[in-house]
Amino acid sequence: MKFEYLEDVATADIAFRARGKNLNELFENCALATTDTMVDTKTVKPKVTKTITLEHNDLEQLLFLFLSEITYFKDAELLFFSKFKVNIDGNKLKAKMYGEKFNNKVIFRNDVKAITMHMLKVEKKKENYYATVVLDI
Amino acid sequence: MIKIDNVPKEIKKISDVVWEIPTSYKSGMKVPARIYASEKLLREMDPGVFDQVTNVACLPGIQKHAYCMPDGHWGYGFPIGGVAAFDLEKGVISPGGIGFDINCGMRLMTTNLTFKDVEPKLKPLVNLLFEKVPTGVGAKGFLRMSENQFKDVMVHGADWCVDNGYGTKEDIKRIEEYGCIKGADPSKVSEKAIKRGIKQMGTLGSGNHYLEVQMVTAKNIFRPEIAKRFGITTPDQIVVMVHCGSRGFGHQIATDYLSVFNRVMVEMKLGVKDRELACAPFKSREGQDYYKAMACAANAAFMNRQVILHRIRESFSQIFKKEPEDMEMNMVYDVAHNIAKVETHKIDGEKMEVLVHRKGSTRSFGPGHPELTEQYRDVGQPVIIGGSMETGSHLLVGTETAMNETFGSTAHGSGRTMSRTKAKTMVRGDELQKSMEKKGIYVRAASMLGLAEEAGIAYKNISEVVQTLEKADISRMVVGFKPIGNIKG
Repeated sequence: MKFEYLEDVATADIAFRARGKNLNELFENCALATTDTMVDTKTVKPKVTKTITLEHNDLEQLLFLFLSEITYFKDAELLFFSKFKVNIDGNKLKAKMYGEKFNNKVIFRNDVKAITMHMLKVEKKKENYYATVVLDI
Repeated sequence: MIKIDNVPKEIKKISDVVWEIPTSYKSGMKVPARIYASEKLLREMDPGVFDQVTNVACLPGIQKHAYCMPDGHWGYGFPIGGVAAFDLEKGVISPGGIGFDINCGMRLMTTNLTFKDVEPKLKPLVNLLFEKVPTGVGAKGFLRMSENQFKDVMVHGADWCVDNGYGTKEDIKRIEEYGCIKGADPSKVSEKAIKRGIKQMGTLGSGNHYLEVQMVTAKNIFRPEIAKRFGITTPDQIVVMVHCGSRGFGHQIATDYLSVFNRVMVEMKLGVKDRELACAPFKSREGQDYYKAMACAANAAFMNRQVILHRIRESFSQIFKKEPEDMEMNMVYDVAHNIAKVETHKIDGEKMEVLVHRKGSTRSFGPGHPELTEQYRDVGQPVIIGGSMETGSHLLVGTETAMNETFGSTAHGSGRTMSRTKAKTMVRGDELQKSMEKKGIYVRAASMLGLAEEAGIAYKNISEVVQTLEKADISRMVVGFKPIGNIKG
């Protein structure tokens, strides 16, 4: 399981829980869950690459900033991504995001207005990392 | 004390439709929380509502009570349906009390057409509206603005539309705050917010946003005299309702300042129950910066709904081969339901300026309020309550009771009872579209999945909600509308 949607959280919005073997994979899966809420990521081809770097000493805030970039590119450049490569080093994040401009082959689902900080959580349990995120729809 | 499953046991019944959670419920509560709901609606509220409304009651400088309206449900930060007023000097401003979609709101216009006129052309009309008012992701508005023009919009709001041929002075009189909140400062808005929003003016968005062609039915005219004043004169009359906000522009401003406020909270060692409730003192630099940026987004939203109105007039003209004036396509009103504003209210008998946050709550100013346009000042402010696309919507009027009890606030919609994730496991978009068409509602949607999430079963019973408002007298029912055509994001 990369991520699952939560049924009984935040009635008018969409909540998900993602998992990763490490923080990099966790952030990648959160990015995928966010994008999959907006479009069917299977219909997005990795034609364009965007590289971003971010910094925050709070891991949850870093995740908030990272996922907010996805909603930014959606409106500002009409770009959706289906593949993410994340590298977290201390308080720094570098991500490569692969995708394409919205077109009639991409199946649209929902506009994610924003990433919320409501219940936002990153935690390590045994061997895996987990995150809970509520998206504003 | 009263025992209702699901509801905090400390809750006290104030009246049949008002409930109070005392400050003893949670440590840090500065005022009690008040929930406006029938017992049925109270039972159906998710536990998130009680937690969130009592979190709001903990915020510095809050006055009287933290409120939740009958359409209340679990949101982020504030509950949806949340209202709170803060002292301007000692109080705070919180993006989580406004929402990411700054100045999301409702707009209602009348026509002199009847169901008989519109029915034969309903499909081409809805199809044309779907084309003229873009929805969903990747939608670009028809306006091409330079950055400087967009900055003019941020400062002047709906007035910009009159200067540019997208509306009349009469339209502007029928907008909350006359379509322009003072104090907007584009220098407080990020380049990112501008890039997200500049191409989206004139678009509807997604989620629960819609544009709906509706009809009046004789049995749903509750106060004919007031209805007439609002332009509703005939059973079977056709009206158009729009629900949308400031698009990516407002979403980015809220995102930017949520980060800023979280930094401030850490620096000032302000504890908060939910980081989404991050706040800053209203008079602090950060608080003022956010207010000025929020006003930019609010003004952009007023402008967005105004250009959409222009596109609706164009579409009706094209289909019915008449001028909009000949079809009496007049504004009833435009209300903001995600906003914070400085307003004057009476507290303990004394007039006081407060910062009222309404998140999923509509202003409901009563008769005689100086802020209201002359045409409506003696009857009160029109209140537009959008329902689910299957069950209809309502027009109400503001009251003196709302002024005295809820800082002039009321509900904003029917309110969800089922999560989106759950709704789409129960409903299929294409099947819903077909069954609605059989019921006489023609729907066009950018996303079938999005459509399924908006099914009527996911919402509370709107009659129960508006009857609760009536019983509590925080607004009074005027007219109910039945949907016949709908475009969705």
